[in-house]
Amino acid sequence: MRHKLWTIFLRFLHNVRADAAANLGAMLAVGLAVSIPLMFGLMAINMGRLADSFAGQVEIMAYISVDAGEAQIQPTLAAIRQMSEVESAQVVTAEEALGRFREELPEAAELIRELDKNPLPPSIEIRLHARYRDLPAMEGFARQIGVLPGIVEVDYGKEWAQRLGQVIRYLWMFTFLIGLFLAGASGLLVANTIRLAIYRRHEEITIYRLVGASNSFIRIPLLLEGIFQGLLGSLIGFGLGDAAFYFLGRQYRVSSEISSWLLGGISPHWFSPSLLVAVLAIGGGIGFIAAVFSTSRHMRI
Amino acid sequence: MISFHHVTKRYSPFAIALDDVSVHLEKGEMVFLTGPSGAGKTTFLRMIYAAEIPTEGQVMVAGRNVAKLKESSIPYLRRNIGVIFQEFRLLRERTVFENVAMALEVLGVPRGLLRRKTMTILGHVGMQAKMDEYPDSLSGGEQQRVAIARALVNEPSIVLADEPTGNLDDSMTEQVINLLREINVRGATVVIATHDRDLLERHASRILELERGKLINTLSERAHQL
Repeated sequence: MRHKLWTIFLRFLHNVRADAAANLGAMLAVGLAVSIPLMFGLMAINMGRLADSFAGQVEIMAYISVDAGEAQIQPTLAAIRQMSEVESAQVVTAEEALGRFREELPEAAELIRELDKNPLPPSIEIRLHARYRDLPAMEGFARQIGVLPGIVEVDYGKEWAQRLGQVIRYLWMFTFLIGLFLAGASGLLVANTIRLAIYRRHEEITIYRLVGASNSFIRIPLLLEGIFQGLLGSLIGFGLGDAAFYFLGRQYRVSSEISSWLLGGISPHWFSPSLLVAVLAIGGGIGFIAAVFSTSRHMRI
Repeated sequence: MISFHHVTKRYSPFAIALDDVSVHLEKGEMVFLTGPSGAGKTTFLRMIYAAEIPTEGQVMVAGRNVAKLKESSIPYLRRNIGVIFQEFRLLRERTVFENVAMALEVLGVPRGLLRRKTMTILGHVGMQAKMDEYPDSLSGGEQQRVAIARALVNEPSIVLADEPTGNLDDSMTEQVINLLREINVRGATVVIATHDRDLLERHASRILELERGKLINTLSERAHQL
């Protein structure tokens, strides 16, 4: 058995060498098919991280009815503080809110002086524990406190968050569709390479069958060839993506002011070893499926 | 060893390769199959190594019904059958040694044993000195001897030869037939398809004659009378 496996492996190496040009073509196609969705995927990951990072900096403001007295505010504040998501919560009176407004916008002092009464409502300023600082958790929390007595409105940058979430969802969908399309196209190319290899080796396969070679003896080297094309192709794709991100990364470091505005100060997520493993598995899988398809279709005893 | 029971092979209603053929070949027999081109000789041989399945009837080889063999069992049947063709069917990009050794590769024979067995059979057919040469540099007779070595290297119990001397001159023909006779003497059942009347006169002990797919004669011990 060991000798048979070794013979099969040697035949696979011999075939790869003999059909080097066709193999290289298929690998480059797989490489492109892998690198393009990889780029979009990374873009989506980084936008998701940006959204989460933004959520982490935002505090939740629960606005209180101007008519609410101390007797209504204190129990609501206590109820909020007891919630497991809450790290800290404090009341900001209408006067404190106006004071902050004056500090942040001194140029509006004239305008404020002309007002008959303070237009700003009192509020409860809430900061969540780090593990709850993401958009879905904040949305759920806002719904929960919105029904407490005295609370009239809860603000956590919902519109901005929803819009960003939608962009990220579209980006993931696009990544998935383009990935699916390119995986299909590169799979067909690998299948075609294997089909041509079967035709080219027709005489050899016929003789092997004649001397009693089993189906697996003939098929396994072709399956290995498909996996090899997929694996090496995805490695090429990973390399292309890595090179592109390397140059982007350099750009990022050079123009840190622009990038800090764009990325909100987060450090972008680059290629990781686990991503490499996933990409190789996908590439190898494409090659394997294509080779199985091709050999079952074009090889008969 | 080999039995045909009312075997018919029909490719279409108007293309009948074999028509109700019944014959039995004993273990260790050497049989000549003859008839004009298109008589069904090649189809007869192809049925024995399961390259064709009968439309009607049964082909039994070593007790197994060829038509009922599972696809995965066909290689095991073929490992007991050596096949030789008129056009040699050697791989041009492989050396003489590699062409012969491929019949052992499929069995997973360890490399040392593979080398010993291949060298022995090449020595037997007189091709050991040319083991590193490629088929294109050999004469027709030499190529046929390599093809015979490939068919015999795993010591099959049945050897089928389809016009094995069709491309050879008289002296090479004698050498090839003598090799096949030697294999037969060692116990293998040998079936040789040929339309060469001289060959039948000189060597045949039992002759099966086909015409338009029908077995019209089964003659024994009468080659000298032809």
